[in-house]
Amino acid sequence: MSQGNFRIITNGILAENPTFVQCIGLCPTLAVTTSVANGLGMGIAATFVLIASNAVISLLRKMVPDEVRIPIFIVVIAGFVTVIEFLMKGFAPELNKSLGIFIPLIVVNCIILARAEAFASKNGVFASALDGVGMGLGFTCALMILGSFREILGAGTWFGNPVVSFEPAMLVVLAPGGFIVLGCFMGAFRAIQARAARMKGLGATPAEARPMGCGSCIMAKFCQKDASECGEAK
Amino acid sequence: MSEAVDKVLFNDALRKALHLGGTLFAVTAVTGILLGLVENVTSKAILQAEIAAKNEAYRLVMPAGKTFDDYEVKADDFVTSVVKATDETGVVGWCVNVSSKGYGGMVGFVVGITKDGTVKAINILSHSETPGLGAKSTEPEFYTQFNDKSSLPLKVVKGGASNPDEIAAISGATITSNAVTDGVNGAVKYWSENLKGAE
Amino acid sequence: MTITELFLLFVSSIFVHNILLSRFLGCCPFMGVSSKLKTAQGMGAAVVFVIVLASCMTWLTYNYLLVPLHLEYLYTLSFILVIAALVQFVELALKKLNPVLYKSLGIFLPLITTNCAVLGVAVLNMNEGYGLIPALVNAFGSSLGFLLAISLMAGIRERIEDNEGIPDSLQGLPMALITAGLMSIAFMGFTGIIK
Repeated sequence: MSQGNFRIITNGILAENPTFVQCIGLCPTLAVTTSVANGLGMGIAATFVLIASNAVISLLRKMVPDEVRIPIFIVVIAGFVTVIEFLMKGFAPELNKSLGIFIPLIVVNCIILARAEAFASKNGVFASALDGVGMGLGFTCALMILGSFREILGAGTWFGNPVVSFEPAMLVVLAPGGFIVLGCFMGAFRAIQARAARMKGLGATPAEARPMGCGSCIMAKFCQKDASECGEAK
Repeated sequence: MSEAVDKVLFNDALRKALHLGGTLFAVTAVTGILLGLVENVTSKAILQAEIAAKNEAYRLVMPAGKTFDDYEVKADDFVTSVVKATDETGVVGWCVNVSSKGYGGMVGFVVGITKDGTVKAINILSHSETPGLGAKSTEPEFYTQFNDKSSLPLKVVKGGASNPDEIAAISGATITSNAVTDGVNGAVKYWSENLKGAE
Repeated sequence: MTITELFLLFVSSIFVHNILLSRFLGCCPFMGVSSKLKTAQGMGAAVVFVIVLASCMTWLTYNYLLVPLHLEYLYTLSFILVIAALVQFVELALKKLNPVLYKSLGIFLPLITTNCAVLGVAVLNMNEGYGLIPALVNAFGSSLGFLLAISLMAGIRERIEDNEGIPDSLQGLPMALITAGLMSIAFMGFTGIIK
């Protein structure tokens, strides 16, 4: 594999990690990380959709009129989401039950549409599929890290096997725990980034690393409005 | 003159709209047809998985049953549907699907009732109870209390259960414990009114 | 459903099963558009409008188109198309009919197509098998819950914005997430008010 291809993959895992750096796709991240198995299942499902939709959209990119590209992307993504739903219902019914509504909601997962728009509509099929692999792995890793943390602290188990001897803090697996754990992880990720940047002598954290306002808004790329218009001046 | 220009412009706009709409329609239609094909291929597996999951749940609460068939009955406050369990000799018992109001929503479970009216076992299928509290109803420590209960109606007690008609509440989740126990009592009442002696 | 049940459904969809703080639907705008109270309210109002309309449309699509044709499995595809078309249509109609309202809500509309709360409520209504009236009550309650939570969030964020006690790396989004966690704890207190 050439270095360029390798970089496309690692880009999704580290430099542009969808969860910790781009801060998109928060809903499934918060909702399914109550256990590591759920996180892994969601990650695999989203990765499948990402790779397939990226490849198909890249194939279609020259045929699609600009004005209707977003609806067409959404149709393609919805098609693959339905396929993964069939597969899960047939071959992993337990997982399908625990992920529930978040399987159809992969359609509106900002990561997938954002990659279609930002990468697949501008690059070749192979590179787009690799981008899907990288982003999917980045998303899966983030879900598994959060899922492991929440399951171990909140339920005292990992993949369902008891691992700790202390009384687990139930709050961590409940809804509030999701928000708080993700907030702390994001803060830690930034602190590490800032330290790394300081060591390299780059000064403070680069502005891109702290997305806020339109930067964290999923539709920033499609929304032609000026950032100040939605009161989210950077 | 200007009329002609208008017409050309209008035709252009129309052609464009048709082109955009046509492309979108074509992509949607192709996706729809492909999905239909995939559905055709996977529907068998989905059906099998659903049947396997159901039969597994019924077998857990009525181990003596060999075959499980839907049994037409009317639903009541608790009971949603009934399945007849049979082996070579005939009816061995009933699997009663129950839906009972818990703390976070409905708790759905199946109660196995033998033909003499003993609760064989229960199996919680769906719930939205609080993890760590009401969700403990899906752990053996709670639901095995219902195994082979024949002194009915059951009642929930806090602390330890000492009599055969008592069920120890999950600590911190009395509402869930009551919901399940009420559902079991409801299922047995339903059995005695509608299923007792039926073949 | 009786009136009492509808009322309970309404209350529980606002507070007990708050769409943001307990169901985790619509978190992107919840984090992205909540730093100013005024914009948060605009977003919330637009979401109420679109969720109620979209739930009505998707309910009709599912029950009068997909079910008779035995194409229930196409629900994801058709719901998202219905929602996208609806949002486009509402934007055009609003621009023509009520420019004042368009000015305050219009800028949020393009953001709403990919707001998972809209599709989420439509799918929830389908999964629960609600009739049209309960579906609309659930949609209205859930979206009011969205408006409530995002307004509260923006109110808090306006107050903590210039707090220098917050460590640098927690400024902005991480702090907003932790705030949401604390709000979610408060909302947990509503669980169990409905028996």
